[in-house]
Amino acid sequence: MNFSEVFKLTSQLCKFSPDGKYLASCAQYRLVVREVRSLQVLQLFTCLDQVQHLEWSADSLFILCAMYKRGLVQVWSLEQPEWHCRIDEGSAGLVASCWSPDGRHILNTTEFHLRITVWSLCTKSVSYIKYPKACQQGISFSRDGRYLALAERRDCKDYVSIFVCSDWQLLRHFDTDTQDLAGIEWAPNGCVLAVWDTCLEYKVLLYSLDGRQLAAYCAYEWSLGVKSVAWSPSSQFLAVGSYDGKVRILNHVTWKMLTEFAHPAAISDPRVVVYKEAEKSPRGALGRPACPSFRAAESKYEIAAVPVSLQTLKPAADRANPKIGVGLLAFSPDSYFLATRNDNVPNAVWVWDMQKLRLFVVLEQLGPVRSFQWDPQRPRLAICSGGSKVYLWSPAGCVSVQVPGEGDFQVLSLCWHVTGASLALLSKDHFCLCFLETEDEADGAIGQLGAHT
Amino acid sequence: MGDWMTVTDPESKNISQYTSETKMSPSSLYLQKVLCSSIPLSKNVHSFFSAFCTEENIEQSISYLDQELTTFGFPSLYEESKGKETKRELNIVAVLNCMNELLIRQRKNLLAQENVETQNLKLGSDMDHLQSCYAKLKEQLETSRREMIGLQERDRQLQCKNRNLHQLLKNEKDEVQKLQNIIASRATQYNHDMKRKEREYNKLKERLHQLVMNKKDKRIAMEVLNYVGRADGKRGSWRTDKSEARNEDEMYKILLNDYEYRQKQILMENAELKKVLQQMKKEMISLLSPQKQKPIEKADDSTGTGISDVEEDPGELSRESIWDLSCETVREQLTNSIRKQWRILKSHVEKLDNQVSKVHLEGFNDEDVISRQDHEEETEKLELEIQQCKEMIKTQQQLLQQQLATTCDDDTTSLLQDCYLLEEKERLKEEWSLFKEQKKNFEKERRSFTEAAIRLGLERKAFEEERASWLKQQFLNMTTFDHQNSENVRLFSAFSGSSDRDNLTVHSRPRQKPYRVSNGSPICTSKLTKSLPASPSTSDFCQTRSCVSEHSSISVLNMTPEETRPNQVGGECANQKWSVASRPASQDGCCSECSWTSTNSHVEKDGLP
Repeated sequence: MNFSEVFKLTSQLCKFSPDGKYLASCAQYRLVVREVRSLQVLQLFTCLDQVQHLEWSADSLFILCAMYKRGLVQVWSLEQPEWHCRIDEGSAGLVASCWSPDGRHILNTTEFHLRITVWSLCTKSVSYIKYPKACQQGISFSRDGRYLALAERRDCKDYVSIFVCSDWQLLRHFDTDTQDLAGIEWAPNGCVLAVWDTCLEYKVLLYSLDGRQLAAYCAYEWSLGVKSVAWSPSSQFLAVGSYDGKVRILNHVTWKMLTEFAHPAAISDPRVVVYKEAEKSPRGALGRPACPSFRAAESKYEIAAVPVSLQTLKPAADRANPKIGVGLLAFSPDSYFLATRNDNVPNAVWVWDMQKLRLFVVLEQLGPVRSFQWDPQRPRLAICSGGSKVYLWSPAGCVSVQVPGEGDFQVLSLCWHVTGASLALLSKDHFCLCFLETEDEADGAIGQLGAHT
Repeated sequence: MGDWMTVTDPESKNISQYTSETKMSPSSLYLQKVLCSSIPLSKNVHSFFSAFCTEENIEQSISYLDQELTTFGFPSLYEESKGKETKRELNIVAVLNCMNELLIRQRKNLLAQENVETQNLKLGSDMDHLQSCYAKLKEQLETSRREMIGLQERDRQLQCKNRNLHQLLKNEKDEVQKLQNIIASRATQYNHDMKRKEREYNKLKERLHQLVMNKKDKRIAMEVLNYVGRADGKRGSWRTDKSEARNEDEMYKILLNDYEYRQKQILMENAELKKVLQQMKKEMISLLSPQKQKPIEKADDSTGTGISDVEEDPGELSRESIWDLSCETVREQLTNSIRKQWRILKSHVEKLDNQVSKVHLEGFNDEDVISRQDHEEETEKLELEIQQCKEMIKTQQQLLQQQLATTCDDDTTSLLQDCYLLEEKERLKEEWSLFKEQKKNFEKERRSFTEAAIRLGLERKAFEEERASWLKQQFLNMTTFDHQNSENVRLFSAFSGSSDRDNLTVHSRPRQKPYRVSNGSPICTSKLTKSLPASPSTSDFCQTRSCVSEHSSISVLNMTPEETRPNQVGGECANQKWSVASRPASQDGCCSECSWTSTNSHVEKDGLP
């Protein structure tokens, strides 16, 4: 595992291009595009203000930089550096901006969610979509880029509009049986839309592409409901994480619950492997000289003997958005594993085996888990917990890797390269790349380390 | 009796004489004794008699008694009067008979009285006992009654409590219901409020929209250097009804594709399952058919169905192709036949289970035991193999790490350091334990050496003495020739413990001992002093020692039954004691220790690079 040098960064804006060739990052008002392999600066663009949002177009030709404070969006072309585009939303303001999947349209959401403006880079045409709903996840493009599902709110009722992305024609418009819709998400196959209600009510609705309601699922009443939703890449499972600390897996045939994964703080199943991060004591005379004092102590994983009790957090009951329930959910690219985080056991990541539908591994870090992401190619999970370490798990074992460099590099978030060969680690104002060995090497190393932990 | 006689008054001499006469009759003996025992009573009787009859009124008293007796049915005391005028004579015989009769009656009465008294006593005690029993039972009754009351009270209390709890539960339920209602009402109120707020918000939004959007905001604009082409290279199309229809078509196409794909998947899955089912069925048939031949004789009803199944099966097998049609009837047939077979299999398995349990009840067969032993042996063997493999792996790892440690540069080591350090630690720990063990072994060896040295010293001393005596003998022999033989014999006897010429063949072996020792000990000591740490020499030494001890022990065995002469036993004992005492305590141990240490030293040699 090798690490690149550290580069400057603001607002954690660092993204690999979808084709995996380039890496765009923003430092204040400068947009820097690097080649991933050499990390040489390819282009340097200067924006009008500090960039708040950065997004690659799907074809990796354009980069969108949004400056919400000034209601501005600037688009840059990699092929033609002299080409530029500036979209000003003026007094309407701007709160969100994103590419359409074809990479030729930009969808800007104005302040107060008054409307969504669709700007085209091909023609002068501008389209408006009224009544977008201000919610957690109100826009969802299907995986093939053909359709846009948009949550709307009119006359105190929730609606979903499905647009054809090629000409922004409204295909379907239907109301949903929700109190206060919180999010929508397409299944990866683009035929089923999952709609879930606000956290006050547990309700998951499934709609076909043609607007028919396929199923409705409600696990319980009178309690805080859905917190997170994730489709498996095979579209076979819909995982619903809720405030009761459980993940319910719905199947794609009957849309009924297959199983539910509880997240108990005490693990007693002897088949479950519990990796516990342990601080490594500074090396004595036997090893190399002790690490420099400014670097945090290294850590390693130890296999804890079950039964294990995990560290739990007592949530404040009188505050909004309590830290309970399953807040993070992610399927591995091959749909074999599901990684979850229960917010009142913040240090632990649960990995579930989707073939056997049972808990497989629990990783307990020393700090609260900030985020995790699966390798897009392999069942390999990268985790960061706001410390100077990055954690990697694969079925063969897991490692904790100290990010080298001067000072404390606090990894707040991370993102994988498309091929899974490298990993961008983002701290508050820096980022670096972590290069992983080729597959055999990496697996060998992880296996070895895993065996020793 | 004599006393009583003297005490009697002269007036009642007659009576006393009578009594003494009655004494002669055997039946009255007892009465006499009773009378004797109750002297004061008899005295009273006597006084009563004296008061009743005096000299003067003999006639009256006799007639009175006669009357009395006749009224009681006794014969008259008087003789039968021949004539009325003649005075009636007292019939002595009748008197005596009466008296005897009276006495007998008296005795009977006394006996009866005694019996009655004892019965009375018995009854009294029975009565007491019953009374106490009664009292006790009464008490028990009282306590149980009290207990019952207590229990009833408790029951009542518990019931009360239960009722209270029920009430509480009901209250709680009501509370829950109420709270739920409150929640529901709150929810509706909240929703209502939300809607109101949202309407206001919408109004505001609308207004804002009008204000902001309709003002022809110059700033809302896009500046583009030049428009870029579409990603697909085509030109944008106008929105028309045609495009709308096309979109619809496409959507349905996508949906259809998805459904088709899913159907295909389901079909495939179905086909797989069918295959599995078929295979299972075939296997079941093949499994069950040979077994059926045997139980046919038993004519079980289950086998009957089995036979019919077998008859049915070939036909069904030929119709396999029909299964692909998956129509209702075929499905039913298939499931039915599978179910049947499954039932047969189940019953068969149950039968087997029963047999197994029977066998278990009968006890373990020999085969069973043997198989278990085999198992154990096998597992032991396997464990050994595992151990060997583990060791092999360990050594390989060590070698690998050594190689890596020498070849790897710092960067890679820094990455892999933690694991190597761990490995190293493990190895060091192992080495440490090995060293510790070696150290312990060395300590043991050393102790055995010191013991051996002490023993050697003793032997040496004995040898020196022997030599001195021998020299003296030699010296003496030089001077006097005659004494030599006898002295020599005595010398030998002192060592062998027997001067018996017959035993010489036996003692020739023990006699070797001193020679051996005398020959060996100087060499040994020199070796000892020179090369203490060298293990091969020590093992040699130990071998000699063990040899010696063996001989000595043999000599002991040989001699003890033959030793009879008391004068030689003493000398013998002095020698034997030495060998015997040293044998169990140290020499055996020494032998084992020595062999152990020697093997250890070999191991050590192997272990060292």
